[in-house]
Amino acid sequence: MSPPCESIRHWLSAYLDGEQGPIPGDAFQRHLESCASCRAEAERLRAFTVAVGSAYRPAEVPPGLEAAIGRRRARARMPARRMVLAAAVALAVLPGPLAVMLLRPSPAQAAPLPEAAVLAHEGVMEGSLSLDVGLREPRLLTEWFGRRLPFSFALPRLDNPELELRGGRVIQVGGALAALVVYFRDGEQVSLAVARRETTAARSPAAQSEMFRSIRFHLEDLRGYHVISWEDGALSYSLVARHPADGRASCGICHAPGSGLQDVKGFHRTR
Amino acid sequence: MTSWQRPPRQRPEQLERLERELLSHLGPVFDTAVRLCGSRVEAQDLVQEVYERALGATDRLDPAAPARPWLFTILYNLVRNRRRQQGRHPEVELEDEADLPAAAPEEPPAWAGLTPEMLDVGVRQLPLKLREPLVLRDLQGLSYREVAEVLGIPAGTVMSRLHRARQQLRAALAAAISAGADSPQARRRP
Repeated sequence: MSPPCESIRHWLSAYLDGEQGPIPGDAFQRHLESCASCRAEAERLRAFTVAVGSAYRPAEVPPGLEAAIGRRRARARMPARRMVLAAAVALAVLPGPLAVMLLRPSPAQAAPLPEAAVLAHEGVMEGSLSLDVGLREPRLLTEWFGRRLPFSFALPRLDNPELELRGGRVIQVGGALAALVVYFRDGEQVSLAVARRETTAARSPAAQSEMFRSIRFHLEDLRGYHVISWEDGALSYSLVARHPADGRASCGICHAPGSGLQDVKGFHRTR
Repeated sequence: MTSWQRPPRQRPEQLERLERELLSHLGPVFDTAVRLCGSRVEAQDLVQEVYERALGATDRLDPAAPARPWLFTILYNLVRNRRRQQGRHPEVELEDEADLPAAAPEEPPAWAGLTPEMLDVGVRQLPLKLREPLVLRDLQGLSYREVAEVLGIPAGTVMSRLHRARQQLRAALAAAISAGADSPQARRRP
């Protein structure tokens, strides 16, 4: 007895691909010879799979991906003691992308937050580090980090509508997990590293500091970037931007004119 | 133990050859990662992790076995782990043997009008459980046995899911082609 059309059609894809399903091949063949409807369906299915094959265009591989894999591989092969030395060297002299590869997940990652923030900022900018997530909604990104970090993550209130949130990535700072939040402003990347307060190291003596609204902001230039760092509650923040290191302009990264920071001008006159 | 695993250690020259072999599949692995997670950014990170794991375990890879299914297995496991960690359960669980009505059109559309963009969108809109076998079989060219091993499901389940995936995709693409043909721009064409 020939199998019913319903069964034939259920296993038709596999049969056309030359696979042996529960219906023997000769039973399939006899059915298709005698059933014009199933034969037509087989032709339609065959034409469809050919069309899919013709329309398929593989996604283009990003140019830096293979190199990034190679660097990650080289790091994984490195014995632990050499890794410590290499991390120290990388932080001091190596170009950004290579140094950035050492930020995650090695035991030799005791970079203070501003330095780690700069290295990760460079890595994302140059494509050697990708974002873990491309969320552009602060609440969703806060929730995303909240599920991955061993502390209560909070984004600071940045009242500058020109800062467009682009996503984030988990990084390691001083052996602990931290967040890197990436924004764009005027076509340039701005990165914010957020870590638990106790994981951050002592600040560079070259950093200037200013008190504003009970928060002390530290301003320094690292590797050609301007970094503003501050502590708020249980968290430490470092904001990296290629922006003039002039005090008022620095505040302008987060606080747009008319954002409520009315007394910023007067504040900077008193420095 | 899957067919591509084997305990003996490889010699250094064999390892180098294997590493080159693994990297030669970077394109298909990246393409599959994009289609599974829907984001090029996330796919880049996934693929780096796939290769970090694979290249760190080449001594367990059988040089005679195809490397691509092994890479896909790592990728699929990573995708599932990430989805679990992120608490994402957007995919409706499918009853594998459920007798779903075939949605494929009776009249064949003009497949010549099918564009890569339409295909990308159609594949992306498939439920994950149907997208997985379709991407592996129809886009990456794995055999049914390899698809079953990568996904960790019986070959019969692969057959059922692939059938349903093709039916759904066929219906979606036929609708997309019809919509394109009915658009004002298409009507203006000679």
